[in-house]
Amino acid sequence: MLPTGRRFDRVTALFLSLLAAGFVIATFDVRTTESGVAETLRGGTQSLLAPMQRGADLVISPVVGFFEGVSNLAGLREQNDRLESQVRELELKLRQTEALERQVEELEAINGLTPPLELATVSARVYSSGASSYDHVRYILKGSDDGIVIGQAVVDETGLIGRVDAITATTARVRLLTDPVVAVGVRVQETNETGVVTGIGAGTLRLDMFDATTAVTEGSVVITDGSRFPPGIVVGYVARSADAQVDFVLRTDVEPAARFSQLDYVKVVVGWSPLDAEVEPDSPLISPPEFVDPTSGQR
Amino acid sequence: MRRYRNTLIALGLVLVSLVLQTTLFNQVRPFAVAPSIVLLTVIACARYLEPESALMVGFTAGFLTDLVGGSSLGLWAITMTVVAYATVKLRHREVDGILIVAAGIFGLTVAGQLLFAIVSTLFGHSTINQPDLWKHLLIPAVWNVLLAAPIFWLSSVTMRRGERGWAT
Repeated sequence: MLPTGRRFDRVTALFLSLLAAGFVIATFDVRTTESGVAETLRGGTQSLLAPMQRGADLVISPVVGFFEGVSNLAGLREQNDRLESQVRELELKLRQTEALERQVEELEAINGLTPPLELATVSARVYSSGASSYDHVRYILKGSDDGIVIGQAVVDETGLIGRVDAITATTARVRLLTDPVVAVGVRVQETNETGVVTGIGAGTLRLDMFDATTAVTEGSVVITDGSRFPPGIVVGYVARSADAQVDFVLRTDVEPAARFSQLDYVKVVVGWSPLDAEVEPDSPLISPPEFVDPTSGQR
Repeated sequence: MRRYRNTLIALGLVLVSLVLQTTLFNQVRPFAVAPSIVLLTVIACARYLEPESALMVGFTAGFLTDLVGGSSLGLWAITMTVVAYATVKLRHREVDGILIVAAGIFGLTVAGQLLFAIVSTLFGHSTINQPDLWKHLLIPAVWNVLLAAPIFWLSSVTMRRGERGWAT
């Protein structure tokens, strides 16, 4: 048995060594690129943990779902009535939409227009999150084997969720819009003016417009502008009206369309090449269709 | 021999808590903030381990948290090493009573969460500027106090030693 004084010294020395090791590792991780040792370690750990996490998720999800169902039982009748009413309204709108679609098809045929193709997506189950309350990441059960590459947009039925920022063969990490490192080029649908939406680590997002000439009003829809993600994806809704300040700078909050706390399934948009494709030169990006000049027939 | 056995048990508990943290508490998040049960497991295990082992388990738990998280590697490793060290220093104090133990867990969790916010901000993550930082400091601490009973019981059953210290 060592004397107390020396033992204290040894423990303190180990403590200081571990702190130093932590700072060195953090510095290396910050300085290295995405393809560095750190990413290899992350990928390896995720591959090892994924089977355990999937197993736990299989057990936990039904139990959590059951208790959520029981807790919501009281409101189910009211919700049912409301949904029935909504279904009737939607059926009416659907019939109107079908009529409009036929008109649009006829007009396209008359004018020789080609309708835009729908974006190809891959559906994936969310099976895990980051390990601390500060993390704004989710893990999905689809990876590079399914055609997913870093940078692709991730959406659900409500709108944009985030982007893929790390992948293994069978899993991918999605960085949510709420993460302060995520910035998305956007357009306010009502005014058509562009800006940037950034995560602030909380429930809301921040919208910055640097050349704003008109005010934005509360409730305006904010959509992607097509610079990094496919255009037209709903990002959120302006949370409070704002006017341009000096130098046409406008800043306001945006309520995200997606509900990040209730993500079960998401879709990764694989049919659209992100602009940062050069980061992953070997990735199987989907090429745009070849253009053929209709008059000369040349490609 | 017992030292290595307890260290292995502690690492096993850390792994289980990490899986629960990323799955169960991905779905159960009151006020949109999950508990920090890996941190709680480090506190629970550090009560019974040799000081050196407690520090190594804290560092490993933090490093694993970093590997499955979204921030830079090493930040949780630093944080949990400090928490393990503080627990090792506190456990020798002859304190007793459920309120004191709860206060200790609450304080260590808040300190750990705050330390992470500071360290990650130093490495460019702007965590400390988050508008609802207080939620990340207080809600996991409250959660951890509530979850302490089962986790302390589990660590006590699997790692119990002859001598007993703080929070036993």
